[in-house]
Amino acid sequence: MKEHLSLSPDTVIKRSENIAWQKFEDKVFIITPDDSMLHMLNETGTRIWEIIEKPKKISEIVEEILKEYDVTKEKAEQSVKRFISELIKKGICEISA
Amino acid sequence: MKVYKICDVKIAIDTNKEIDFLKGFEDVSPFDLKVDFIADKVLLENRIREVLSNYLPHHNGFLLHSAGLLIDDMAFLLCGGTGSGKTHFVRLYEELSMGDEIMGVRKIGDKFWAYSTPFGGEFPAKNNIKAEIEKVIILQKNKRPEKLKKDKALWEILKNVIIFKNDKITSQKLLDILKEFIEVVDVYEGTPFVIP
Repeated sequence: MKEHLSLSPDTVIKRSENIAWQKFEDKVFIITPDDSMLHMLNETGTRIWEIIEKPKKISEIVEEILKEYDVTKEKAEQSVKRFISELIKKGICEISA
Repeated sequence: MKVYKICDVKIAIDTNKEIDFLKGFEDVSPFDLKVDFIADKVLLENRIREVLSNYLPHHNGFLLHSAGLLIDDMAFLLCGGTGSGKTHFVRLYEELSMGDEIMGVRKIGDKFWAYSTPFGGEFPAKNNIKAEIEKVIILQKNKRPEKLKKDKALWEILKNVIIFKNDKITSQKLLDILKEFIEVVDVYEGTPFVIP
């Protein structure tokens, strides 16, 4: 299972190349063509999506989130890792070599 | 070889068998797409659906899992999963029916048009007709129709689009045309009519 991916602060994350997406208002809608699945990111997810427009380290994503949301570093790191793990599991993001 | 027109797409079918579910969709013009010979009616129907669902996004359209009613020359599309009441409404208003299962949608100029398709359903379309789309209603029982916010509307429509396995470009074109669709067409959620 990829659910417990070990993502360190230095792990670099990038968007998968083989996906289609569209931003509409404050949400992102994604189709993963390999399995024809649909995905919708909420407002926070969409913000993270924007942050990783270019490959970013987990620590850089957390830093950005801390600037914009009233949340502790520990909580932000936990949430970002959980969210990114989920995106990797669904084939939406990948770990950059 | 017989040529049919569905959603203004001409499809040539190389078969000697009579394809009764395409009755009313014949056309004699040159064709754009070819569907391989498949003797089984269900497989053939499925194959045409697949071809169209992957072709339409490249031509400003998509297939929508919905029933269609033609009221005052305008199309009302009713979306919803099994048991949501699509067929029920078509049964009540059979004379207005454009089909109870799958509608084609295409943008022509700055308007979106609904196309009947032969894919059934209890009430597959008997005629090849198209009409400008007035609105889409996501069926939900016992609820006064409410206009959905655009982002929610896009998600609801997306869930009802017929998507076969395709490629990134087709998926991207589909999302692009859906975004335009949502900007032009209002989507409601609820029960559209009083049931007698």
